[in-house]
Amino acid sequence: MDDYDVTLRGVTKSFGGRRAVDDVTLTIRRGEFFSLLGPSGCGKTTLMRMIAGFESQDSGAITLGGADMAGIPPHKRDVNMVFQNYALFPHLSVAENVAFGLRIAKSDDVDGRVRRALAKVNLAGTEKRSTTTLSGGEQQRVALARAIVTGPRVLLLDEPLSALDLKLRKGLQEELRRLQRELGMTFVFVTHDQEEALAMSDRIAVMNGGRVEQTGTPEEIYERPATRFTAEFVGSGNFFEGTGDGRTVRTKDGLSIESAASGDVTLLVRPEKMRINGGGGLPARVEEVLYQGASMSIILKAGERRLLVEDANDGALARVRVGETTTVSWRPEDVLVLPR
Amino acid sequence: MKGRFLSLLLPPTAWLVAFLVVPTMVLAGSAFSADGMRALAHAGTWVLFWRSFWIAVVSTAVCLAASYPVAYFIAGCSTKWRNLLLFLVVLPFWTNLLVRTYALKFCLDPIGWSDTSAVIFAIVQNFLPFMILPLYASIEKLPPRLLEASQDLGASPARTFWKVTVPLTMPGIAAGSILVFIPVLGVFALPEFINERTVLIGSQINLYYGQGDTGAGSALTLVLMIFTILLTWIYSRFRKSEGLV
Repeated sequence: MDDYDVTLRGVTKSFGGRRAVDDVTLTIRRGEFFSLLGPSGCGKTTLMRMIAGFESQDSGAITLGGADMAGIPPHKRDVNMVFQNYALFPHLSVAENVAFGLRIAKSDDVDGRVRRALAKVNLAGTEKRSTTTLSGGEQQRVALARAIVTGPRVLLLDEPLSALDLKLRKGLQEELRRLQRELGMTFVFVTHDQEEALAMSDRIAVMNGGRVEQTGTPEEIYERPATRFTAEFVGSGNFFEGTGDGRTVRTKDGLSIESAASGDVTLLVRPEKMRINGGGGLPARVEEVLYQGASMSIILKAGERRLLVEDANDGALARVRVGETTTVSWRPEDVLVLPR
Repeated sequence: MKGRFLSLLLPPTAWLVAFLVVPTMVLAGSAFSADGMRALAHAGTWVLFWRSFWIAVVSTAVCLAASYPVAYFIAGCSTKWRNLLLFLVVLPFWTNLLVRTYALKFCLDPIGWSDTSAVIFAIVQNFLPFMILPLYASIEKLPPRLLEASQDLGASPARTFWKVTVPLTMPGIAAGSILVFIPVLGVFALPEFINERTVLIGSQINLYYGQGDTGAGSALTLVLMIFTILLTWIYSRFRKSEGLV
């Protein structure tokens, strides 16, 4: 069990009769960037607060570095948290915020360690400033420096980027990933942003209604979603519900799709795997063309069925006009099978 | 524009002149008299000032220590309980000060508690709401996230209290202390009810005016005023340097 930093076994937590976290079992490896991904209210934040010790589970067990955490208060757990709204101490300077944990632990060379931590998050020279004069992105970096400076076993990040604008968010994503590699620290990252989770994580646990739907690498989650929820939440897709006989799946609206699935299944074709005017395939009418700069989204209607096709903006799609009739096709190996 | 500006300025200015400037001038006028100077030269006067000062300091400190847990508890309650408890805190104000003090005396006399500590007890008992309310107001505004952040960084609940809660509720602590300290400094009647030997500066001023010695009464009042203004000024400087204004 040595290479696991955090384990959760059958962890359940209810608030007023509602199960916020429902029988969650997870193992988080040492030094990995692990994301808890799900819509708001899926229990991801509650789960993280239980790891930090701010909530206690109704049943199940949580271990940190192999030690059972039952009854251990937050200040005795070797985890630090980066809060969603930073939670910087307004009565302390930047340097004193970062030094907070070091002073509690009576560390030596507090000034040097604070300086190095601030340099790591690109905030060198802000030591003396008041935290209230910093921008949102800078405050987030101070919170990060404050959390890593004591060298905790695990760093918990509660949607740390959600309050920032897009450009800043992208920059901080890269920085967080770099920081995690340099420190070799286990990061548990809570987010509702699937793109963010895919871009940053070593592994992702997709959560829904207090349960873990699927755990895997970003590729596994996106390319081989285990449930329809995962498939819909991570990326977008075209879904075909039907019944398969081992060679083809027939849908209620009369489509026959080549697939080895049998029984009642849902087939998924990702929008970027679909081709327009590839010769043959499903006839469809162009309803909408959404220009997105680097890529383009085309919404089509095949009978009553709505299809989404995405492609790079390399000229081929630019000729597609709203109202015209075309065909949509895909390769058989790009059809994913989901249980129903 | 200018005329309108001046007309807006007029009422408050008139108010200040009528109720602050003129009375203070009258007071100062009668203080700088032979009677006034004689009272200030009298060593006993300064004994009273000193006694009033330290009783006010001790009373404020006891008030603060007694009020903090109460305010903290109320701030942690649900809205329904909060309103009820805050109502109970101010309920004593519905009874006259003298009635309350007599009631207290009837409780203290049978057990023979009437020394200076009983006087401080009576003062604290009377001034508690002035401390609890501002403390409650600042504790209630304290973001729970900050307390969590502190514990997350390894601080025990006790250290979190001293390193985060107390500094962040300093505005409430300061406001409550000022609200208790200043009136207690000039308190009269109440101490003598409990113990007639505990004469404070407020009682002495009352006595002088009662005897018709307006000069002496005014001189002591003026010194007390200057002292109070000085303390308030130090307090505002302190708050500015803490960045809590």
